Amino acid sequence: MIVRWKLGALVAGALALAGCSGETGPSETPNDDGLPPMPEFPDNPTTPEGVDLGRRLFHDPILSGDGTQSCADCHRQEFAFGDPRQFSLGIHGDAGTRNASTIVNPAWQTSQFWDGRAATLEDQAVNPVQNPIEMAADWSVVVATVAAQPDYPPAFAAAFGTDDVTQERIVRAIAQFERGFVSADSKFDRERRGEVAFSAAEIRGRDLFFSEGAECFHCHAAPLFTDGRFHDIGLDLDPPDEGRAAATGVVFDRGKFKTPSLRNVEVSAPYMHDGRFATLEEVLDHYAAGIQRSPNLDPVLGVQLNGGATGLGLTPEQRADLIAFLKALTDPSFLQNPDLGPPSS
Amino acid sequence: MNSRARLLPLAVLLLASGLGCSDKTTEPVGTGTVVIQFSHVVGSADLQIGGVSYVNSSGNEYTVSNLEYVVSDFEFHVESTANGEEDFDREGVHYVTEDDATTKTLTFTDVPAADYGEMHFVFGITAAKNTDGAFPELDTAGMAWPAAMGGGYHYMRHEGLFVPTGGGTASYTTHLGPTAGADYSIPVTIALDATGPGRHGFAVAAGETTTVVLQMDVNQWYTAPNDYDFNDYGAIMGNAAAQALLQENGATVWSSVDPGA
Repeated sequence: MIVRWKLGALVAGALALAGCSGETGPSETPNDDGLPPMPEFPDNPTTPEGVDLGRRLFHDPILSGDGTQSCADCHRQEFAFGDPRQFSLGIHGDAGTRNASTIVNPAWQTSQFWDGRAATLEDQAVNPVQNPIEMAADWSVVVATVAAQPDYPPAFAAAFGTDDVTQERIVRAIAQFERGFVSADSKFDRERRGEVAFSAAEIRGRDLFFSEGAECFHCHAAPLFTDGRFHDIGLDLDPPDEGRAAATGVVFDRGKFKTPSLRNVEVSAPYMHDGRFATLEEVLDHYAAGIQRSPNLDPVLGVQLNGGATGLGLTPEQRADLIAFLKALTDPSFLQNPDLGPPSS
Repeated sequence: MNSRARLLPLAVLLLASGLGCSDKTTEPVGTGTVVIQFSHVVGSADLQIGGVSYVNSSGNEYTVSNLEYVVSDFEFHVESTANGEEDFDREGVHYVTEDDATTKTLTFTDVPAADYGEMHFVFGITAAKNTDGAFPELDTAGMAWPAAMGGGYHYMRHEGLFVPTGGGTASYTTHLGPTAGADYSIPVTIALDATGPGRHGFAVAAGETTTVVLQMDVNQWYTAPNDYDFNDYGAIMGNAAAQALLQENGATVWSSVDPGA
């Protein structure tokens, strides 16, 4: 994982120099794991010490109001750092209104949360700690509590040069850790590298996925399997959740939510921003015949409804093939990576 | 592959990129900066994403939900070579999306001082360069064109709603790209009057910055020389005839306007 971070920094350096022209030239090559070059984060450069600290904090319930809940309680590694519950429960047993987002290849994302209200992982990490229906803590108390632990200040010194514990340093460390959540070793990746072969169903599913027939690829763009944008996919004729509009105030954004990555989608049920679908089969039922022509329905889906259709009209065989392909996006090495789990001591 | 072996090619790239720029920084005299600003209009109105309706030459009332595209390989041609002026050219791609202002500017920092009378660029990416994975940032932006449909990248995604014949609401998705591997990229040449009363500020002086506004009239995609009626087209990524028709129209969508206008 450290190699991956160094690799990203080097590529970012190359890009900075190649940027003399303002265009992108051939020096901007993908990494040999198939993902785009990792962006550079000059305001919070990744260090091994910062990652170690972020890992401890991510898995430590010390960040919650009563010391019972950590980030990892709702962002569980075996579920692609998502939550199998439709709505996560906070320390007081309160439920939210959206399914906890997965955290897969977040370093490439330019916004966080379903509605994109946080621009960076650092910004994102501030919210759940102080959200009264989540970790329900006071940041000033959290900072004091962390600083009072004898082993934390030295870890902050190692990561940031001095042993000062601050809210900014806490979220920066967590962001450094999360940027190492790199998933790029699924069967899809290995097939692209020529290491394994797809089954007939996986091939059919892949071809359908990357076609205008199923229209998956425009939003779930490979290799990240998300375009990082916001779309209304016709879940509701009159969306009860403002979605992106809650962050922008723009009516045109109503009912739009950020495209989730499909990497490890097999294990990240339930699906959609509100966790309304329990299975991939239910998701495909929606796309096959349940799309609502909501006011801001994405045209990529909407064009399929021209003439009165209610969906993509996928056959049972096509649905099975698509699911076979989606399961090829599961990355066991990511889901079981011990470096992303709780520290051993 | 061990980590050192993985890093080596990238280190070479880093070096090569540095060399590519170093001669520009050691000999800055005689060069200026050109900032290209991308502007999008519909007729005489600035393009608005969302609820504003427009009408094309086929009478389609439509709105725009999304506009994103790729331009590449800019060339600036000098008006005269009498004093040793040379053309400027730079290979590379640039991604523009209406909803991100940072993409709507392209800067060249090493343009020889001269009066430039013509600009040339490619709308999209020429076939030889338009290959899978060649431009990772276009993959990240969701501009990949599936391998089974020809591979490479979209040239443009222009999407929205329109009122179909008979009323109601329908959607259009004008996705341009290398259908079946064919090259539908569009060479665009814009003649500039660098010295006359219609000049667009495209004279580059050493050490100074010149701004050029490139303006796309969205309606022109559907107007000249071919009318394009949204009722006649759905998803067109596999429609070679539609790609060819829009390729012809694409030559007239661009103009250069006075940045002070």
